[in-house]
Amino acid sequence: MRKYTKAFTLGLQNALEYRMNFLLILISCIFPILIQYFLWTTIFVSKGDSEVLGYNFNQIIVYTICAALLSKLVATGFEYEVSNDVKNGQLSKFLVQPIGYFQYRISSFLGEKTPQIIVVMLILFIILTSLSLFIHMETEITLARMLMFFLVVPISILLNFFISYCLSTLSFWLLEVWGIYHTFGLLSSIASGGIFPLDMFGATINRILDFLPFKYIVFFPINVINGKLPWDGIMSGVLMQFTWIFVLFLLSKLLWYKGMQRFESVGG
Amino acid sequence: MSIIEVNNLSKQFSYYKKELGLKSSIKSLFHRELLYKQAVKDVSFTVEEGEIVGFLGPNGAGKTTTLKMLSGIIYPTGGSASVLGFKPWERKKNFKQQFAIVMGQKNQLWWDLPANESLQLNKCIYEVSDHDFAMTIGELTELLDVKDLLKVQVRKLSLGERMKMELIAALLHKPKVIFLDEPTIGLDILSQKNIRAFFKYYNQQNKVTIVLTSHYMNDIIDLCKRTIVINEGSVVYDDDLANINAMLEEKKIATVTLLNSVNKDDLLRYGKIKEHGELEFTLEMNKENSQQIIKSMLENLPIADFTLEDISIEEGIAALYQTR
Repeated sequence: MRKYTKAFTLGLQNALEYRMNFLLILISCIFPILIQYFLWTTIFVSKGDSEVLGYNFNQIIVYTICAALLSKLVATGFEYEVSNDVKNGQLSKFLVQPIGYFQYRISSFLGEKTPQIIVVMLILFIILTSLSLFIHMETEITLARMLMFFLVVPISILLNFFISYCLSTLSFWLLEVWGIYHTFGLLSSIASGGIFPLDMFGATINRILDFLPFKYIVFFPINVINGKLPWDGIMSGVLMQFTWIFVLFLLSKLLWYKGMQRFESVGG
Repeated sequence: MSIIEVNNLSKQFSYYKKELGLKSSIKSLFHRELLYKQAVKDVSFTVEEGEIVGFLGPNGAGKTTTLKMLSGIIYPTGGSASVLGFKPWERKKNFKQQFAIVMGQKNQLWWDLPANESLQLNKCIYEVSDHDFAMTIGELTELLDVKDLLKVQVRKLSLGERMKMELIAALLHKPKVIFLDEPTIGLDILSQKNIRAFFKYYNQQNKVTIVLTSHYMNDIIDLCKRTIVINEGSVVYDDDLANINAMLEEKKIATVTLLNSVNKDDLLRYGKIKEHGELEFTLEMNKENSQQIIKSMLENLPIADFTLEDISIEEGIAALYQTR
């Protein structure tokens, strides 16, 4: 067990070492938020309604800010490291040592995310409380919902870890996976509600998205905090998160087993 | 039971063929020809506890592939193997705790950190106690003379120093079986010697079993009593290296310097000409009647200088490499 706490600390050290990098990523969120701000202003003005697709102007801006920050928080990135390990044969190091690759990856990932969770939660807390002081929101952000949000977000991060971990097995079959990761990242960011609220895509698509894991990464946690979801909806959402984590866990086991048989450990 | 048992082990790799040029690049988008390469075929051998066995073979013979299968990095496509009673590719934790593989061409240490940190990580991974850790590090750094280098960033170390650190990292958990894949590659003669001496000592002290591949004949001659030569994926020789000539036809090599040049046909009567210059000739002859041949040569030829020797181990091995 100690080896995995060590991996956790290594991830943590890594995150602390590259703190500026993460802060700059967060700061860079401002630009898409600004673009969306102007976009929504124009839409609301030209429509003349006070509500678009069930969101008033303030709500949609709050959604945009939350979605932008949350997307950065749940983001993985280790899938590139995995393909590097596979492509250059570095994976063999893990195969001969008594350390599980999966356990190593998840420990170091969680270590990396821990300080980021704290920072992003703090920022969100400050933004949301100050916004609710100055502007009028239809639904109030209650303390209970805030707490629930803090519980749900780590599960979302875990869920996204498993999606990426499954995806990373592609490296066993394809030598260059950069393009696929990129495309997938884009699609999943749309499907998770990281850009627009998912209500925009209409009832049919939403029914499909209900059964996919993506919306439980960003859209669902935001709906927990902005009060759009009733409490029983939150419960079934959490249930859905855990179901997907379980399914993806099994899938990743299978994919890694299959992929390992193709591993050639090139170079030397 | 032997500590390592290998029976008809085989590994087949598949790859795509691609012709030169853009046109065939485009063509390969639609159709690619799948080819197979038999990297290892029907390799069988056993290694007893405490043995040091040399693994020789030309580049691409399948040495490293065999070692990779024996350490569980890749799955074989046929045959079976057992190391310490385990099937390597099942990757049981118990198995991993008892063996180590060192690859001269690949570093397992963290490039940007001092070797210390990597050793500390390995200590956690292999669950080595603080006491054992301190003992082993003390002993090994002393033996390899790298005590002062533990705190230096790995990237700043010389090749030889880095190799020594790799060895320490690999031996931290006191493995019973060690696979060494070209551990002395790229090292100067002195460093090679040091590392050889170290392994000799380590093997005697700890009764570890070592399987070693190398292209440096001295590594093999110094360390291994028994050598397995592998060529094009198959075992072609498995015995004491000193007996290698016995397996080839019994031949002697005579190097002759003449006083004045003679007709080539006059020389051909005595044996096969391997090399010849203006006045210098190298002849290969049968061991059996070499005495008579020499006698008649000395009588009939204007000889200035003369040496007679066995075929060297190097040449014996080169001959093995060429047999198909």
